[in-house]
Amino acid sequence: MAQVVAHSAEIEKLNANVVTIAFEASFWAGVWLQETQSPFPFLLDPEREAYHAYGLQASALRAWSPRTLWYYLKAAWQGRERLGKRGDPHQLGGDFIIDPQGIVRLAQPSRDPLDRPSLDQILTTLSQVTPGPEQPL
Amino acid sequence: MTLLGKPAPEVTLSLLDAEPVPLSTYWGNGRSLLLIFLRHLA
Repeated sequence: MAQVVAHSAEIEKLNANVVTIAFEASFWAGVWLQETQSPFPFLLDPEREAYHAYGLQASALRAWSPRTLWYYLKAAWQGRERLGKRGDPHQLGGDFIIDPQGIVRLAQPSRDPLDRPSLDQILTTLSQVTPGPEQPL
Repeated sequence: MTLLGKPAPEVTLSLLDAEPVPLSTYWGNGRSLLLIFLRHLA
């Protein structure tokens, strides 16, 4: 997320909107927005209707994979993460790119909490699906 | 089942102020959408 925020101008130049979706209460959304300073629209999905429609699963096994546990241990050691409980830790996220015609051109449901497309992959896909200013719509 | 190459599911969600908004609001008219589903907000 931090990389997407840091490259928001680049993403805007590719004629793309960015939307984040969360399933938790609006209180935690406000906290998250304050912490991340994300400038993007933030939508709430408490019933996880969109999560289910986009094929995103909850999985205790994948949410607590060895890679994830190692990440949290390192982060806690470095003072970066609080391991307190905040929401359902088993719900996995994902990233999708939808072209101007409404067709899904990138679909990456996270296999574990650290599984996200690289910024390069996102920018490359956006540049391929969105017409530039000199191209016809 | 992958959604790749298929029409994006249309869902109506809500903004923080509870205003309903269809997801399709954010694509079209020459603009794509990068949709980021978060895990828990930790």
